[in-house]
Amino acid sequence: MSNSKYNYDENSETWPYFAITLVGVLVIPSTVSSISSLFAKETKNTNGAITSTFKPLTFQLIKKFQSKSKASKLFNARNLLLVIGWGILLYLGNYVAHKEIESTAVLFDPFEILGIAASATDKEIKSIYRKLSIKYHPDKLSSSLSEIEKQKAEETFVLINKAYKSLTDATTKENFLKYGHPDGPQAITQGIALPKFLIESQGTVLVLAYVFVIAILLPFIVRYWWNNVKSYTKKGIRTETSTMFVEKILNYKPTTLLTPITILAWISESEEIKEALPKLPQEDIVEIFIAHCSRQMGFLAKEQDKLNAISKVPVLVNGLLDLACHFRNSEIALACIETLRSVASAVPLSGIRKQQLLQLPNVDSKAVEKSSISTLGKLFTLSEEEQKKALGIESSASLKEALDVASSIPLLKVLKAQFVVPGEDGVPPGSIAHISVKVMIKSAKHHGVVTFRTFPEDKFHEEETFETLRDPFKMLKDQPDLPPAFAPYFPTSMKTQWTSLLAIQKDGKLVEQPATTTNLDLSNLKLSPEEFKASLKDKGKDFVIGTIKIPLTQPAPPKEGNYEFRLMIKSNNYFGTDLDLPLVMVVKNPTEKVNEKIYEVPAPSDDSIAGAMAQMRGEPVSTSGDEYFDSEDEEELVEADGLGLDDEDDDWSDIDTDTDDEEDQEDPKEK
Amino acid sequence: MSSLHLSYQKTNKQVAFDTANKDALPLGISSEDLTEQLVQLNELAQQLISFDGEAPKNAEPTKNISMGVKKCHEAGLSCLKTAKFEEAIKHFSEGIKIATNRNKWESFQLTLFETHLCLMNRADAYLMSGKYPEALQDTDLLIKTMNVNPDNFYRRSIAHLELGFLNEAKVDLERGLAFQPNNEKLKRQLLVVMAKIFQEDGDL
Repeated sequence: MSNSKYNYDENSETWPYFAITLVGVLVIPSTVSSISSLFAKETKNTNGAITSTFKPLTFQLIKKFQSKSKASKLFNARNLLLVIGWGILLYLGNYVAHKEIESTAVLFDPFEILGIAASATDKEIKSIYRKLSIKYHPDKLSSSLSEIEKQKAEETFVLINKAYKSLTDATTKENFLKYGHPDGPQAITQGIALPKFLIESQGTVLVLAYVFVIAILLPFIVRYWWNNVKSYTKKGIRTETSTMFVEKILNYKPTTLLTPITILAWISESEEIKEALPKLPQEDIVEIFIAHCSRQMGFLAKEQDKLNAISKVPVLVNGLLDLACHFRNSEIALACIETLRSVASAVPLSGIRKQQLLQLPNVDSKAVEKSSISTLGKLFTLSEEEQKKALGIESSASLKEALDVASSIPLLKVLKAQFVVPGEDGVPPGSIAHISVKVMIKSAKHHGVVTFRTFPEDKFHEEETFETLRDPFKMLKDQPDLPPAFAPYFPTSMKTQWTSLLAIQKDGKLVEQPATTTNLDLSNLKLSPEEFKASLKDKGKDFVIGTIKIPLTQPAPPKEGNYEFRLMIKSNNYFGTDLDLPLVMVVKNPTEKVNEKIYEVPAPSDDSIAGAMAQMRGEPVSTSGDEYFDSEDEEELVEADGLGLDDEDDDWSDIDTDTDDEEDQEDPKEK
Repeated sequence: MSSLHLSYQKTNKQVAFDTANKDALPLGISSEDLTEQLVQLNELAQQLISFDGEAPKNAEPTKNISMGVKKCHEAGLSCLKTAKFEEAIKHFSEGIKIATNRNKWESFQLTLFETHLCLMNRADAYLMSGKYPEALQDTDLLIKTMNVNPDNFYRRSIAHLELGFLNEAKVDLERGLAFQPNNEKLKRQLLVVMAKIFQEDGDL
């Protein structure tokens, strides 16, 4: 049957609309995401960012690298597809806009032609017809009209006649009213919103195109996508690289010395780096990294290739850090962070203890190694001449650049740190807690000890509302985003971040995955040394207190007792701003809390239904008098609750690992 | 299928690993690791073969070696008391050498405390004579082999402090306090270190 029962969309009435929708659904959202990703960085918060006039020797090269990567952001395959998509969209839109006029003239509706309602009587129809036929009769047209207008009028006249005839015939009119067609009911037609040539084409080209799309292109795209998913881990490193890292961690011996150079050596074995610097032996790649950290340049490989390799280091180190935390290895995790910031600020890997000064611009590493000071804070206590000598800087302008950066590096001082369980006073056994750290952010030029006691007590009080109980981490987002970090030697822009690691104090093993802090208010840095001193004396009135919260995924130990932890909050970017503090988790059954509740909420009185229910359950019931219940009842209640919690302990015991570790640890001591 | 590709040489009664096969090793075993383990195995076999006396029945450590270590240790201690640090270090080092040169089949676990004792006192001698890097090395080894006596953390913190690693010194003391929260010596030292840190930062 070559004559199909479908009406094809020969006049292109509907299929362009489908095509527009289809293309639009694909093109518009991806355009929006493309544009927003292009402008995402520019709109970020820059409050507290270090702005410096300092330009490293590699400045031009880095600029070139950045513009290249920006260009590749603009001119890539995805954007090309987007442009083609928009082209199709515009073409279709244009097509539809011009097609519309022709297609509407096809319908024949006598009522519309005569300009009357379907309910009009025969009399009305007749009078209208007369009026219109006089107006459009070819003999009565004014001679001033053009040829085209005359022709149009004639066409209208024919239509009017046709319409009148169909409406004066009783059966035809009825058919019109009932079925919308002069011949009565019509066969129902199925339309298909595709032009005929697409479906019933004799040519094999289209069939081939179909086969190509469904049998080749689609599986290929799916395979490509799946391979991408498979070959990268969640942290964005290749699976081969991840396997290599796991092997390195498993083979790591605690007695060997682990330095950032070891980490860089591991990184240089990864596929990612090998791809960026092909044909180079591993030792040379490590050499390149070390040279970058020493702020040297100009050998072994093309500068752009080197920058490309260096730009890949943070992702790889973060991947390694994640795995190290997974294997609970604190030595490797700490070395990872050390590597990360050495590469970010280009600080010599050999400069142990002097990194705080070596991270500054314009400094001479030899002079710094020789000088007696090693901290940023001490640097600001010196006279200008002494500062120049300590940093090995000759010109005052260069010294100012260095000091500007030094005073803008946010230093953290801990004010208060504790384990918090929302809605509880302490940490009940088996509960899910988080760590809340209140920090003071200050500049190295601010001298003076800020502690918990500097502030009035209510400054640390956190209101517990329904919102904070539901999501205790929401308040972190109220603090501004951290600005981009000062890393002039690093090829791409970097975020200011702190990474928190939590270890068990006794065995030194990590217990949680690293947590990153991305929101903190740095406005304290703007205070001048005098303002700082004044505020310090005046109960810290101008100081902003920062909050860092670290979620814990494991529940608190099931047994009551003190559990010692070590919390390390390490900067990914700068040296000298870290926090390293001991934290004790006091796990305690909230027995007092139970009593409190009873006092707060009066027991139901015994004549209410609730009271009767409570009595049946053997719970304390208040008599009609004002006394609640006697002390015997209270004790019983506490005991019962204690027992209930003990039962729970058994359920939790196999989840917890902390107690096992302690036992392991005490073994060698006993022997 | 993954195998280790080991071969046994009849002439010298040794097990060897051909490094040409190092890519075929199962995950988690590196060729360096395997080679090291084979060296240990071969050494153990060699010692057992050339052992004169009756074949040892178990891993019990030999008593007279323990006596030797003890003598060295005591001699070292008496030198320490009379402030002869160089000599004390020699005695303790001798003790460590004897303790670690036992027959390979003797239980390391049972004799570890002898080594630890000598190491601790040698660290003391190093600290007293101002050899901080050496002291750091010894205390590091002690802590890494899980000898978590608060005194060892105290020793290491002194070494760290003297070498200028203030933060590490603080962390050592804090870790020591985790094992003995009321240790007055550690608490006092922690205050000293904290004051040093504040001074170093220019805050005091």
